[in-house]
Amino acid sequence: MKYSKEFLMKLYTDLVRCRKIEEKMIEMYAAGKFPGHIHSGFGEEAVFTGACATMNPQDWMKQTHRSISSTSLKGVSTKEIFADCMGKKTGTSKGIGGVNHITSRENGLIGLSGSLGCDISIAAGVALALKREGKGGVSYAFFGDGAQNRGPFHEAANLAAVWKLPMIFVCDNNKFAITTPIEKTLPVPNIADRAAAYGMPSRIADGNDVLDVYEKVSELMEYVRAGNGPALIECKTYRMRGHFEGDQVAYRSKEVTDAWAEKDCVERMERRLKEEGVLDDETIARIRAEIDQELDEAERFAEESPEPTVDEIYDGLYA
Amino acid sequence: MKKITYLKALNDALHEEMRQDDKIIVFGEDVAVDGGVFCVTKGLYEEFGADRVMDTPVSESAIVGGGLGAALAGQRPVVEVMYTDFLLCAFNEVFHNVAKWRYLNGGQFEVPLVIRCAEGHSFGAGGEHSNCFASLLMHAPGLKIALPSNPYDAKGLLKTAIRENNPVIFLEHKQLYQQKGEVPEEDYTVPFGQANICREGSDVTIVALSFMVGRALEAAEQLHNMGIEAEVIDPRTVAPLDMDTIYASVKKTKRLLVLEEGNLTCGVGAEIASRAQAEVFDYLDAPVARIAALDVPVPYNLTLEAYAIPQTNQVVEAVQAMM
Amino acid sequence: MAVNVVMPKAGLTMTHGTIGEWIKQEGDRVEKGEVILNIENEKTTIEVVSPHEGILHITSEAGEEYPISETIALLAESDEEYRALCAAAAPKEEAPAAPAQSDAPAAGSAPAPARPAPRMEGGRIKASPNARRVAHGLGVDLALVAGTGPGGRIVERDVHEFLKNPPAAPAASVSRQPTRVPMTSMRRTIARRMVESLRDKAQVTASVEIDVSELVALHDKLRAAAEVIGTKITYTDLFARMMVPVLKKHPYANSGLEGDDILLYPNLNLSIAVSVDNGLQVPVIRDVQDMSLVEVSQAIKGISRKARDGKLAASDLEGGTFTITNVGMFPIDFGTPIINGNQSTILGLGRIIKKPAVMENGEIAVRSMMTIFLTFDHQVYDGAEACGLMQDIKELAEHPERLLAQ
Repeated sequence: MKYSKEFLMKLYTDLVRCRKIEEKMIEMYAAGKFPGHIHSGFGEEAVFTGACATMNPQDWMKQTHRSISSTSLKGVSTKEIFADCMGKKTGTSKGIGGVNHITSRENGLIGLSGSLGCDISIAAGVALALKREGKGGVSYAFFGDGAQNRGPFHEAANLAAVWKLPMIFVCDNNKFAITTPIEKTLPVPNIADRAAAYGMPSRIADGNDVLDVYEKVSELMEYVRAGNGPALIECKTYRMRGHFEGDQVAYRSKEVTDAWAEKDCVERMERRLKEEGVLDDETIARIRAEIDQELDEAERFAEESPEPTVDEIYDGLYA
Repeated sequence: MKKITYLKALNDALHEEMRQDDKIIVFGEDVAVDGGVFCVTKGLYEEFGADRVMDTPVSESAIVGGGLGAALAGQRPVVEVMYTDFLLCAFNEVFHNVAKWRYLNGGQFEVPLVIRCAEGHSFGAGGEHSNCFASLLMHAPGLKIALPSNPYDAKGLLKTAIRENNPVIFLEHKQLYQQKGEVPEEDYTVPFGQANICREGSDVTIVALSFMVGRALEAAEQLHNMGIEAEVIDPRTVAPLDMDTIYASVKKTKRLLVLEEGNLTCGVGAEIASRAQAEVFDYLDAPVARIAALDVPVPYNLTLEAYAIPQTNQVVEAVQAMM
Repeated sequence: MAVNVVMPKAGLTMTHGTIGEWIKQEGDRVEKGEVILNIENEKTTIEVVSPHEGILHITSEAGEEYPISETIALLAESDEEYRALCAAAAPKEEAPAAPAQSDAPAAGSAPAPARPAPRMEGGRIKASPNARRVAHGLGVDLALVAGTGPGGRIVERDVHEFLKNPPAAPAASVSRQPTRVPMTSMRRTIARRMVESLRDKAQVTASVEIDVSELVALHDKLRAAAEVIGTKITYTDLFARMMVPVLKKHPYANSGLEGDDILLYPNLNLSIAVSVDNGLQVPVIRDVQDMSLVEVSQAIKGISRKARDGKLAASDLEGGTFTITNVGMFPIDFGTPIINGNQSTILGLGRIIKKPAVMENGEIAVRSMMTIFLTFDHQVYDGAEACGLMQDIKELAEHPERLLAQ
């Protein structure tokens, strides 16, 4: 596929921003700046960057709990992301929802449900609404390999398929559901194999290659945008860190993790773009520095932001 | 005014509202082509087409979750879960998602979703097709819950539910579908959070829910013949719950009895009794009484089923014991 | 709006008080600050003044005990309001103006409260919250109300029923049933102390008859000179003064007990038994050892007046080391007095009566004789000591001039 320089630069910038957001979150969490837990998506950024690069403004998205950086791809500023993580009033959920409830109604980012997988039928409902609106919007539902075993994934896939809803199921298969490896919970070789049971076309992408993800999702989106019904893509990647920050992953082999590090999606993209003459070291450094500054400002903004007060505890319960 | 069934009143509400707002869509099991197993959605498919009235697979998660998603993205879905009992197949979606989506996401979203269910005993329907558990739903902050006891309230409350921008669980009682009552021809609504005093009295306040309102009124008539005047109150919605009307009544009568078809333990009556003793303690001449279903799953055998759910004479005896 | 008159808290640890005597009566118009009744706590009698002007409507029973802060009467602003208060309340039964003069239950004069109210374990009246609220507002004493509600509890209609048809005094049963007179707080206190004293001390009484002819002569002389010396000397005064040197010689008779330790009191704080209207008070005169006969006399007079007027303070009743009780005026010769407080001895004085006596020279003469009797605590000292003590009193009483030398 031939891509324009602008497209590649944007793709790369988005990828690096996601990476730096993930890194910054690990750093801030370790410094005790976030209550609760975070689930780092370090290493899996290509899955979301590649998929979101296929989006139009009228598309909606349900993110998942990992790679919170993906919300930056759907219109949420890094200031808001960090404010949400810190439980501040300036976050998208005003301090009430936390890291798992970063949303933007105006940008079509609906959030997720902490009981993972049960929210996939919600994404199907969004698809129903988009179909009725008739503006060509598609509902993107991101979920992990663990969540796809929950009943509602299957119910949503079934419903979307029989109703031919404009929906794309994007599975971020990082091979681990907390401590349980995929081999122990999947009776078929690929999650993508399940699509056939629902009459959906599917693809398998290299989750560590942002362009491969982009291309495969684009192929499926042609099908979906034509009104044929839903499709499913499985992006194979690896969960580089623990399920949550602090998880020592004693149940995994360090060698395997190190091997995956060789395939890091950011390094690969940089190498490729340098080879193709799209990027040079200077540009890379500039992009990185700009993002660093953006994130430092965002961190400061979040830290200086006020917390919600107890008087506001009932706000937002009812319209 | 015309005298129509509870069922027709609901059906009229759906037709009338769908004519007014194109965003209202209806889906659930067997609701479209068949018009619903209880016939509540009859005629909608014919009038509004497959674009707005849809049959789903047997998939409560898809119905409830799908309804929520559609609501978040701008539609106004009125979905049906055939039996209240099946709502529990998607209880996660109801309790965590439908109820909480607005609050957890900083108030960004509105959830104009109505989930209609049929509840209550049905002469041998058994332990998984006869449940009443408004109290389980009351426990989730963020939901609104309506339980009409007559055709007038059924139509008025359903219209309010559909026009609400908050999620509503609309509990219809199977044994009320064929009940006839006067309903105005013109458009009207019944507000949420406003109890109805069905019968005035000075000796005891009986708060009753849904189908049990009828039994409360029967009991009141029998008590009247014994010289005891009962005031019967139908809350109509348990979220929001109009306690002020109940407090004012208890201040007058000095006695309170709560009657419901759900199980006794942790039922709606437990909540009402607790609030009443806290607020109007000094006006009580007797402890607050609760009459509810026995703490067993509803039995299949008809005699046992009748025994398990509250009967009118139990209410009469309980009131006499309070005098 | 009617103003409440409540049981006052008139002592640091006072939790209840008993209605004593209504100084103002039902229907009287009272001024703010006027004394309207007396109440008693376990120590003493207290005057209660009106908190406001108004027409008095009494809602409590004389002789009954009420907790502090409970309403015992109402003050109506106007005749109209007063009538309304009365209309709400039943015409009260004739409550006794003051508790009975003697300890014996006076048949019929003190109508017994019927006590029909249902009670729970522990004595709390079984009434619904609503009934309590209504009763309080109408000034009805729940203790008098019978209950017909569930579980026999008093409900609102019972309160209204009580007001419409107050229970009649049980007439037919009076002749068969004893009249029940509840104890006043003073009576209860006396009763408790007497029983405790007898329970905790090994009390023995001994007596001796003494020839008080000389003492009578001295007494009469001092009486004649009352204006000169400034007070009327009494026999109690004389014996009180006599105890000073006697107890110096018998310190164990001026003592108390603490566990296994005998406490020898350094001073003579004399407890004098005084008969008062409602019972008995035993006020204390401190440091009699430092007083002259006149001072002792004046002190005893002062404290006795205070006792009879019901004006004793708590401190007037504390700290006694030795008690004298003069029962001669009743008149009786002999008694077995009960030791008072944390003391070891009580001295009783009988009547003075002229009797024939055999003199030293064998002649019979008419002499004034008095029996003195002493109860002592055998835990502290023995008969020999007691007898020695009594001998010394006898000697001094029979030779009163020796007082000058002491």
